[in-house]
Amino acid sequence: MRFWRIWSTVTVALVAVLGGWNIFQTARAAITRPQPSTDVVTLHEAGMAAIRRELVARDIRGVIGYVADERGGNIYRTFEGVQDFYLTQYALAPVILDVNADQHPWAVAKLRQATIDNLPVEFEVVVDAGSGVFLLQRRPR
Amino acid sequence: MSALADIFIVLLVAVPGVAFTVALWPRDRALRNDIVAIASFGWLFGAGIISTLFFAVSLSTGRAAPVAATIELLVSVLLIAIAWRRRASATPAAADRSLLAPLAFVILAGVSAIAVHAAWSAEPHGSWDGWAIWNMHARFMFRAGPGWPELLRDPLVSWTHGDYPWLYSASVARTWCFLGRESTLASGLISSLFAFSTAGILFSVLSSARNVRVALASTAILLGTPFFVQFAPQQHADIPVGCAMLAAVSLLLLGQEWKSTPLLCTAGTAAGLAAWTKNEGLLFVAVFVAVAGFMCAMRKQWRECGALALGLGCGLAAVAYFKLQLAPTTDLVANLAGKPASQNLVDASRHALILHSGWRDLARFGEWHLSPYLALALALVGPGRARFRGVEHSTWIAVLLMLAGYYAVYLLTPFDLAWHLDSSLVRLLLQLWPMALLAWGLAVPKTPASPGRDLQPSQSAFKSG
Repeated sequence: MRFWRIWSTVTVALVAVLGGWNIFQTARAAITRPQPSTDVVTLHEAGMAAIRRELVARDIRGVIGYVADERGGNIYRTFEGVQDFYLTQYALAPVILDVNADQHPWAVAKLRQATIDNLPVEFEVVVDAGSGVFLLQRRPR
Repeated sequence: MSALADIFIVLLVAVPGVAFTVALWPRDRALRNDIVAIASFGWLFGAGIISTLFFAVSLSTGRAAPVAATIELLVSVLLIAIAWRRRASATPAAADRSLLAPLAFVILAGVSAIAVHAAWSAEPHGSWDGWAIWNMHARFMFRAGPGWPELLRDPLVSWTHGDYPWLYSASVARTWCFLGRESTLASGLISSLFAFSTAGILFSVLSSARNVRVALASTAILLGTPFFVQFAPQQHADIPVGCAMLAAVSLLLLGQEWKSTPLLCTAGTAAGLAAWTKNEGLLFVAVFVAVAGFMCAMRKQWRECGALALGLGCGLAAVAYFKLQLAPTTDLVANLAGKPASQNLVDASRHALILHSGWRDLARFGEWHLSPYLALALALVGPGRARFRGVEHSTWIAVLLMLAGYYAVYLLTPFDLAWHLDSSLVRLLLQLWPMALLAWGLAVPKTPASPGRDLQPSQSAFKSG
């Protein structure tokens, strides 16, 4: 009986020490790990801030179009395409984005490689926020 | 200065919850003995109360901040008054524990907070699901006014899962609303406090049910799980739902052992809050009803069964209204219609893939520097005396039933099974990890030197206080 009492005491202590070691190592890794300068969400938020201000100022609500390097549903073909789309939706909520931009009077563009010349011809640029971010309005027919 | 305001508004979440917990805590117990338990349960119940209030207010007015603040203040004052009155008429036992054990818990939590802070600094908006789902919902609620449910029902944003429950997101939206701005510090702190609350519940329940030694070991393993700690500020609802599950099982255990009917009521409420936190909580409610209902029926405790049902009803009220009136159909259910589910059940390759992924993720989900499994197993070796007593069986039964439920969901999922497993299984394991550690702590052999201190079965009848 005495053996099992010692066994229980020692093994529970071992568990506690192991837990403590993991806590210590996790904290140590957190301190020594180099921090990334700015995370992707914060960068995207900053890039979209001017567009969000403009949407609020113009009282644009509901659904607007979304233009990217890939058109329509093709944005789902790459991780970057999906990430940009979701991040733009996060930045501009509660306005809702539709990848079929040609159905809406307003659109936001987030281009990684394409230039302003590659924007859909039926839209004109209202705000150029830099870094490939634009607020677009459909040209009068 | 603005950071202090953020922290202050977040900490106010706990006020109605702590008052609620104290009001229903057994009157013969000294609060000083249970300070970690009351603070930990209080955080969960506080989040449940304020998220429900803000959810209701946000549906009815565009000027949510003053209305919600007034109601929150009134509810807090009312609960404090009830708690004060109940405690004033009570004769609690003298405080008999030193503060060394709570201090040891605070030290463990404090060191873990370093890693939590670093993880939050790296991703202040949370990781992918944190911003793409949970904080996205909070933004719709905060920015759109009363029209948010209609916007989140739009099929164009179905990818953000507008059917997900609101405990976390409404807590964040309420805090942003009170601050008048969106704060990543506030959302990160709300998310993180659920992790510390979970650790506090585990520590305090095992301290009472067994001893401080086992409680500290178990808590050290939880806070020494790097995945748990680094996930804490990532603003998902997995740790909050795990917290609610642990709270429900723990309060069921304490309520039965302390013969406290009000505590059983809070157990039901905690189970309901699990469903108000995440869809997996709905599965937990079914498991909880089965386990708790069976325990009560076996003992013919119909009054206690009623208390559990009353608490469960309170906890489920908001999620029931949301699911029945506002939420779009859950994609898992919507996509299931018309699929040959029966074929999936007998598909051996699906069983093999689930088991393989389960084994793989179980081995690595903690991201430990040193894996604790062997040490945890060694501590269970010993003379085969009854490890679990009565209602304590509910802990491991609940874990096994939840695992069985998750298994069934994966078996029937209409999505690509490998993708579904890869994108969710580790988080599901994380949800159950605190409850599994509670079961481990209860399963450690009881030596004569370390009997359960406070949970010895009492001959007295159930008490109303």
